[in-house]
Amino acid sequence: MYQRTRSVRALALAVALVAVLAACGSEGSSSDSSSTTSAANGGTTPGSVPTGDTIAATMTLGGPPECPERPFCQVGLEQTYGLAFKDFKALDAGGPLTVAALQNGDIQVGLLFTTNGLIDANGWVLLEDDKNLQNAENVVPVVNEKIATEYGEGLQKALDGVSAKLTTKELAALNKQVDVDLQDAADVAKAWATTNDLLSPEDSSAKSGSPIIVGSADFGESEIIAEIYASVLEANGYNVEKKLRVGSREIYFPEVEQGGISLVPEYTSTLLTFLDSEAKASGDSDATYELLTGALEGRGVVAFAFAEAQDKNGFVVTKETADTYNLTKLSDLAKSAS
Amino acid sequence: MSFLHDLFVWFNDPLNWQGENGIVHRLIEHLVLVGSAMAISLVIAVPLGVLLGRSRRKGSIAVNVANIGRAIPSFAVIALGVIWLGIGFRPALIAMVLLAVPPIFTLTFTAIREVDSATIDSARGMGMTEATLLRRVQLPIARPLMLNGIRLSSAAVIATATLAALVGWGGLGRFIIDGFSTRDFVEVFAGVVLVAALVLISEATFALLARLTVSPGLTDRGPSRRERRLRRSGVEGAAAA
Amino acid sequence: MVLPGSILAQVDQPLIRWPWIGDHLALIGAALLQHLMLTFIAVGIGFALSMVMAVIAIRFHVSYAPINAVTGVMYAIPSLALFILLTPITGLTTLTAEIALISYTLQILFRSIVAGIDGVPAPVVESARGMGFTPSKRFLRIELPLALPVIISGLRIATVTTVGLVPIAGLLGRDQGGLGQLIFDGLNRFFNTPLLLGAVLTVALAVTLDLTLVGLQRVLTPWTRRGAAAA
Repeated sequence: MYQRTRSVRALALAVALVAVLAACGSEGSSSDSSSTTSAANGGTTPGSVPTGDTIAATMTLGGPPECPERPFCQVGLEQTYGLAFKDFKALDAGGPLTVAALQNGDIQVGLLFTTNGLIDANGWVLLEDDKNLQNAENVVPVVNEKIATEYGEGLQKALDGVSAKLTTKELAALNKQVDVDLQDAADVAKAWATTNDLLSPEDSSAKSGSPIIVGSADFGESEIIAEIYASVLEANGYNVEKKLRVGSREIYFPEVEQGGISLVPEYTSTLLTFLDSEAKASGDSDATYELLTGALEGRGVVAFAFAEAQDKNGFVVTKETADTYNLTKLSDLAKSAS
Repeated sequence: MSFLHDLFVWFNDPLNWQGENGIVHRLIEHLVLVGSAMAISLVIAVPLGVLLGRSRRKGSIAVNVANIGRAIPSFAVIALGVIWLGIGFRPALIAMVLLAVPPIFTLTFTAIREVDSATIDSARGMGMTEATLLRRVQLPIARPLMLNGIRLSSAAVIATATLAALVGWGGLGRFIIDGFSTRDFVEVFAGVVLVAALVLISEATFALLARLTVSPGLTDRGPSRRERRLRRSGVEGAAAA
Repeated sequence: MVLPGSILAQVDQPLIRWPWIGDHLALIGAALLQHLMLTFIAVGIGFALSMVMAVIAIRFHVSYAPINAVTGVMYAIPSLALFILLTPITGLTTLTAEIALISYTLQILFRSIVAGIDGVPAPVVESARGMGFTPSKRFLRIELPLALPVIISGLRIATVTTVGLVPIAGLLGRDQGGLGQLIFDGLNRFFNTPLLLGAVLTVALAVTLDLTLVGLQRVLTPWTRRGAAAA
């Protein structure tokens, strides 16, 4: 009796196949309207960038999948430096895939974070951002507004205490301990917080209320800072849960807005331009922070005090590549390859 | 239904077809991985299945091993492969071969072994050499089941090859991972549609192949015992992604 | 044991740092436990749903094709995408992971249950009817037990598949994915020890559960063994 169902299934498969083929086939017939705009887009981008025989045009850039759409990544390299790479390879956010791809020569230029301990460990060259594409990227905790209101000043004071102590140099050291020395992010975070006297607050009494869910983006440094926040809040008596390593900003930020995540470490300019692509982020930490708090308004998210520590997008080449083309800064990539 | 509309727009955008991240390139990458994995698996599994299927004694251990092989999770294999082979194509290839071999081997083995011994005896009685026996009798009778094994492997590998995107290889999995990174669920779904289309094409190809290559002497025998027994032993479910 | 020429050579590290394992037993245990829980819940709920669908399909034959088609479509979606496509609806939660895992078991379990019951010889069912068994009693006492070997072989595949898919749920965050937590940590830092441990334990778990179900089948259906011995 189930023999018949097999032919029904075959029919269903066939229908699905036809639907798929129709979807592809309709490209030819209905693309007239959309292809004009697309072609226009496709036409302007390469046109505005001098491809020619620049060094960049011989190289493959590697970075996170979202890089081609980011103003401080591929878009900025094109517009600010006029760099058009031969190819872009989607890897990860300054993580091991990018590191390995640089080591293997799969890519020649890789996006790593400037505080990444592996740049030094490998003897690589961080290309200087001589046209100031990257803006102030101070580390800042952003908090779901309901949680911020519920716990008020006490919560803010605890997190501001972290920001007051965190410097760029220390951030780099923390990264090295986790990425190069392979220690646990939680241990490293706790040790740093202890050293900076953040785990023995005056008021460590247990606070009742909603749990504070500390989140982080899917890269090491974000996880370390989140672990610092978590350990400090725990020491202050808050009921802390962790939701670490949840993908890219597109994935975790809506969670912060909706309360699925209470708090996440962020970077001022990157978050600002994520919220408002027109915003004028700059190298000025205070001005950028002002703009960020404005952009957060009405989103149910607030930013607490930012830290001195900064971590920017850095474009890195191997020592060999740097020597071959005599590279020290990003604009060197726009020079002629021959 | 605006999601479907967005999906149509995505497929209509020529920019989504071109370049390193375009459909054409990703499709080729995917097919290279699937094709290499299937080729290697066939070279390993078919001769082994035929050989062990003919020697009636030793086979059952091999089938048990192959059954355990079906329990090995592809993602874990890819992760292990990364340790020794680095990121990219090679760990994914090994995982795909490990995924594809058990169904092909098990079904080839079973198909050869289940050829009626009376048929073989009468072929021998007709004076056939072992090679002729294999070529003219055993393989043609076993072919539909063998093809079924290859079909199952092919579908599983096409779907599972998307995991390669987690360790830095391209292929259609990139649309899924990249779409997730940019919260572009249309792109994710487009990746799913492309994978599903490949699976359907693979299924259709094997259905056609089965119809074209079946020995005319077997057509009126019906699906019968052997197929039902296999279905009962759950071989069909091997297509785990 | 250092790995020469490996890309992991960025930091010369041994294949396994035994002290790390000793220091992280609690983490490893928790990951393993979560892996087991996710698997059991998925296979358990999947089995219950499949059983209901199978009963419906057997009772009303017309429903077999649509149920089979729907579960088949769910099964065909690449696992990677299933976890991701659910996130706009159910967020980065265990619920998302479980829905994806359950939907993967349905096709396997539904078909094996139907095939098992369908494969019960008609004369057996007839004689049960002749002996005055009510339909529900007949189902529970005759058809289901006789279908067990096929059903358990379906359970084996569903379980093993689920064990293999759980790590991918690690995409939803480090609090998901069972042993996948270790695998992703290893991949993220190119740290051999958790990577190797997570992958090896996942494989071991799959094989162990598979063999356990084989043992279960032997215990539950002794007649199949006797039959095999006679043949």
